[in-house]
Amino acid sequence: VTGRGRRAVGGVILAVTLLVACGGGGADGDAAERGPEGELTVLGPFLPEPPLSLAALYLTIDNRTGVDDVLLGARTEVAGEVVLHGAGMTALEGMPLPAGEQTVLEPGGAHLMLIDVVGVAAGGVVPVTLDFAVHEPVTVEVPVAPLGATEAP
Amino acid sequence: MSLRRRILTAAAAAAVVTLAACGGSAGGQDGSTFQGVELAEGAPRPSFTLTDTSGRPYDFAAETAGTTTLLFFGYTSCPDICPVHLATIATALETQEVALPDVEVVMVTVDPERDTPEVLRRYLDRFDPSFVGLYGTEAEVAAAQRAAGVTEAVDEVDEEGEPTGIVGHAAQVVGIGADDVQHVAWPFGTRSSVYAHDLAVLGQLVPGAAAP
Repeated sequence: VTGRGRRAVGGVILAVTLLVACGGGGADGDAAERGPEGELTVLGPFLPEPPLSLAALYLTIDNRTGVDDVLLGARTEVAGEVVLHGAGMTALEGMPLPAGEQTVLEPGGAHLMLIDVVGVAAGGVVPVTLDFAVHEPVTVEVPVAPLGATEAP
Repeated sequence: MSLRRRILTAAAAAAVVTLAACGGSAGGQDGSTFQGVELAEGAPRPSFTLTDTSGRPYDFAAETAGTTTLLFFGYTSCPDICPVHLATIATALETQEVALPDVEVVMVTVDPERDTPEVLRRYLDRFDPSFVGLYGTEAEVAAAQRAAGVTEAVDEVDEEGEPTGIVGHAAQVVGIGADDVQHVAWPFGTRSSVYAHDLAVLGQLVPGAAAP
């Protein structure tokens, strides 16, 4: 976990550089959007319609609980299994959610991969329950975006 | 400074891709004809033979000669990058915001074991039934990647050396002009308007002419 934490810090520095370089060309300009103080909030979840039976779920987690936490995984009735992936499809056992920070899972980076997905089509909504090391499970209604979408519908 | 934290476990690779994307979006300002990443080498249209989804041999150089071509190495179990590339390309071809040449879109699976011709066909049909899907033995696919000058796919293994089912592969799409020269690569995150712009340029290139 320590090694992963160090890599994540490297990612922060790079990400800041890239955001500056790109003029914030990445995610939806929601830098100002925050969850309520004292709570853990899931922002902007979406799921592009899968081409076949594998789907990627993206979201931002704003941890304002004051306590470091870890995203452990997710469950949903529309998938046989959900796996947490870092960038490059590397499986992760957990995604650190440091107190006071927003953690972003976005296209081309980390995501939750849904395996053996059935009955998920653009325009629909999928309930997904996220599991954390500290916080109680959180269920979010995830809108299904069009095939290959890179942002929420 | 923003408190947002990006998770980039493959930070270096992502940085290259993203920086390339940024450079591309500023296209034209550096004198480049393309909004994607212009390839300095000007390598010829790669030559390799694989099998298409109908089971017939597909001689890439011969089948696509003289035609604007997009070449992409991917696999159908990739839920993140591959569908974005293919959907964006399909959108560029469908919307035709600018007049586009005939374009051949070719995806080579780097996971031939799981991507049977049937699976590959069903996958590509979700985006555009005209997209060509190619497969071959591991050796044949590796040879195709070397011919195209892209990073060879590797089967990733976990700490115990067991395969993870994840296939690392080049994340960019390569654009080959009607002049049979590789001119441009589009990294992950390229917009459909960028594809449309560059495809129009590629279609106007004629054999034997100097590179733009």
